[in-house]
Amino acid sequence: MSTTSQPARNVELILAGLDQLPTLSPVATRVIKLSSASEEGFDEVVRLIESDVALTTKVLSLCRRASLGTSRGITTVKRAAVMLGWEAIQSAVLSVQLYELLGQSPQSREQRGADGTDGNETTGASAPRPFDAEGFWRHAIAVACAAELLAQHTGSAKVAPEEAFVAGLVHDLGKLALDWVLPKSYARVVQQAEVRRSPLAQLERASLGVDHHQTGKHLAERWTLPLALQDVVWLHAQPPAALPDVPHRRLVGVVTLANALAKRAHIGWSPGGHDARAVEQWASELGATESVQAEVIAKLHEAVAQRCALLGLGEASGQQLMVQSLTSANRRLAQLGSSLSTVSRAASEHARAVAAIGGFTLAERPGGTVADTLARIAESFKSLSGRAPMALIYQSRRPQPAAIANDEAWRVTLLDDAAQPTSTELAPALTGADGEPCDLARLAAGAELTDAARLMRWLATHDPDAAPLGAVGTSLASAVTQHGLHRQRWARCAALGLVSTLGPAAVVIHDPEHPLPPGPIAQSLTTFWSWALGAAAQGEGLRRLSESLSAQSRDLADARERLAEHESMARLGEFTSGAAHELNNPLTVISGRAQVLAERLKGHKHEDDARAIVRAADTMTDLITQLHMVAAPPRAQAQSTDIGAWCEGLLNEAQRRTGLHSPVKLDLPEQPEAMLDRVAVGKALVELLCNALQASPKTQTLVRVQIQQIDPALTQARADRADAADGADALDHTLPTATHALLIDVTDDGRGMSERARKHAFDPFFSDLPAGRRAGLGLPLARRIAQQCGGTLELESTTGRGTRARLIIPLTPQNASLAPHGQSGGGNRAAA
Amino acid sequence: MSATANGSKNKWSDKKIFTTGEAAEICKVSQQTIIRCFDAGRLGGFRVPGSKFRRIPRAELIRFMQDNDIPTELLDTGVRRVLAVDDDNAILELLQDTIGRDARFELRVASTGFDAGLAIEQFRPHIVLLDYMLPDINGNQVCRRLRENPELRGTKVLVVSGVIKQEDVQVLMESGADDFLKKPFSIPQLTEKVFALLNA
Repeated sequence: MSTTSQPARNVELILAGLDQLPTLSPVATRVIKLSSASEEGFDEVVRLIESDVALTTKVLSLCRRASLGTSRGITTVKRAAVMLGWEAIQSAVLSVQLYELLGQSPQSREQRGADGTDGNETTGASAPRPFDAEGFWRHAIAVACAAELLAQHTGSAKVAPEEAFVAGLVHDLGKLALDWVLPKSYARVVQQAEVRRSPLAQLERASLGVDHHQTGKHLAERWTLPLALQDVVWLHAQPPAALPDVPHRRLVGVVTLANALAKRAHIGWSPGGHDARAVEQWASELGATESVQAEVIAKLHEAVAQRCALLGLGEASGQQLMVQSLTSANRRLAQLGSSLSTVSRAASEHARAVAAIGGFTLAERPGGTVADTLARIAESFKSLSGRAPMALIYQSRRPQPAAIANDEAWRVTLLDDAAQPTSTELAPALTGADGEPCDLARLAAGAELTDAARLMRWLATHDPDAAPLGAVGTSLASAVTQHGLHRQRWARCAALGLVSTLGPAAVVIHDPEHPLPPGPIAQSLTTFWSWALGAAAQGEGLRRLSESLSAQSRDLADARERLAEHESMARLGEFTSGAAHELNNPLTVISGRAQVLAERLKGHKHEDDARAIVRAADTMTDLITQLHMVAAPPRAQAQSTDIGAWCEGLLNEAQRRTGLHSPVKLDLPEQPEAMLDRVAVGKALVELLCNALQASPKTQTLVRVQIQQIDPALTQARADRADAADGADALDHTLPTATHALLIDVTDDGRGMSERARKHAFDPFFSDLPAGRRAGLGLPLARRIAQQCGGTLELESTTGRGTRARLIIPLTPQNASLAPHGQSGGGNRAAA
Repeated sequence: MSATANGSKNKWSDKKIFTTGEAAEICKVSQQTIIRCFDAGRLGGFRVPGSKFRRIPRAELIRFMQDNDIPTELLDTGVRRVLAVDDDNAILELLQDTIGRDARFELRVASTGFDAGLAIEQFRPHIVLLDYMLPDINGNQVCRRLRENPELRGTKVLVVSGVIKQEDVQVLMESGADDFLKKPFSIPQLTEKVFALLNA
């Protein structure tokens, strides 16, 4: 049977057991039924009572006692009913019947209990029975009397004394019922209540699943007791605020107060404490002042003695009862003293835990690093155990089987005697027997740590000199030396595991003779440390995350900028291609007609005019084509290129175009061939050469061509950026696999560029040259081509000293990796 | 400019309609064979209204000869039939004033894709000068249709266009064009390209 279903099963048992309880006698039932005060059947009930001589006697005695002085003449039930009212008779009958039914001797119940209703425990006949039946009834009677007296003394209570008496008598009906049904289990509950002085109902609910209030109500319903009594059984001991609208709340209050008074007078036996505040509230609501309560208590002993005698319960006089009360009060005091000392011991232990946690939290600050937290754990450990731990091993997250990432390594911190970290190093997690990285969290949490640090023994069995353990082993070995411990001693050192549900884990390695104090302190603290460690690890993770986030957002901004440029260029591309088509048609007509004219005017003086028109049309269409190339350069088409011939060809073109022939020195690479888009790159290089020639170099222009290895990090960064700019893949035609690049420096010592020219160097149609020169599309076009090939074009220029243009074009891999042809390549070729 | 620079004229060169006897002579078969093919519908033509005389239009005769692998050189005029397709009338006029005046060429023009289709069927040009952007269907469509017809397999296509987008030129070449000439062009450049293609 699982423990969780225990209370549920108990409730079923209890309810079934209640059904086996004896029922009220027919007389009692009839008497109660008649409570609606109908005259019919009255005589019959009276006859019924009178037919039972014992009952009659007891009822009449009770009635007489209840109304001392005025009741000398009560000799028959009928007369009693007439003189004292039907309620008095009812109360008397119920009291007598209840006591006879449930006030049986302990032995008879014990026999019944062995029948099996509580059979999950062996029943020893000699076992002490904490449930004191006689004491219980004496208490019940005391409460009844107190309730009766209270009803009499507090006019404002507006409760009939007789009713109050019966209510007081039955208020703990549930306890009787529980004891009847589950004698053994209930005895344990009662015992606990005695020790703890905590409210009984609470313990009943905790261990039985049901309390005596509910049980009593169930029984009262079954017996069809008057509603007022049902309410009292169910609701007594509740504070007044808890039952605002109950019809019999005053009666409930009187009984609650009476219960407290009876306990205060120490009459009878009633386990468990009561809610003192509820009692106070009831007292003030019912108008039962301290003096009234004192008066009631003063009269109580005598009243109880009389009633007990009447019901045949222990022939004790008022005097004897007083002595018993005193004994009981003394016993209670002694119990109280011992339980108080237990409580104070526990309290002082808790205070230390709280102080330790407080000290730890005071030092802890939000946003602290894991290292800070580990240091504080060490300090906290030292303050509690009296000795600093030797080392701390930390693992930020569980190792993945696939690969050991850096953050799966163990962080080993060695500490000195003042708990100050002396060194911290990262070491790969130890591998276990299965070859997988060792999960520190599992070690810290699992059985491996029991029996004084199997982890450490396991480590100690390895000789770091013989079988290297890696950095962890070395760290631990140096820790051994540092703490002046022998290896044997080290093997016996203790370890304390800290496992956070947030992922990280740590092991505190310490001297076994200085552990944390046992008990809740260690538990609370380790939980708290683990938690703090987890929080610090999360904090670190967050910081890392936010750093990478900001880096990513930077990349994103870059990508967006490039995308925007790309988009605007794409739009310009569309625009120029549309415009070119539209413009080329009329230009065809202009050029064609001019050609026809020139043909007709052959030899005529106007022939040249017509030819000029043709040239102008050609220039315009060239311009449009260039503009389109700037906006939408054609995709790079690499082909094997003889660099020397290619450069010389381009130089010739530049010289032809500019009509300038200042000296140019070509410095060519060893490798004679490379794989590149020679048409496109050629266009770019021609522009650079033209610019250099036009800058009026003082001595010469140097063209230096090199093939260089690309920095792999740069390639990677570019590839990453291309990834980040996913969707804008057309932006970057870099081949991330390119390992080499063509580097061309065109350096002239001409006039250089003005600040303004440098700033606008790549703006289409900007030209710093005097009016009438070629339109400034050269540099923008060159740069676009470089970009299209995945390369760059940069300018360095000083006014009056010259300009250096650096063009870098990544090479298609298979050719870039060609071995340089040592014998044929190289040398400086000068071209005039 | 010489009118017979490329090929010589014969008695059939300018004839539009042929009799069965003439057709037999051109095809170098018997007249009965021509009549049988005419009656079987394999050689298209008409009868002279009010008589039984069969007449065969030039285009039908060429088709018939091509179908039956009969050399057409007897019909060859030596003049290169050029069809220029462009939506810009100014261009067409320019072409008419240049290659249209060149005796080596017989020039027809069309300004839509639809007209181009009709002219290709009727005129059977040796070469089509095709613009990319046409009002109804684009040049590449015209080109593809032309290439789908096996009768026109000898017809060359020279794309003459102001497009500068490499991709567009690519599309045209892929749809079956033989060469590309960018507008604006020089007249000698154009005739050079045309002869280069026709003599290929």
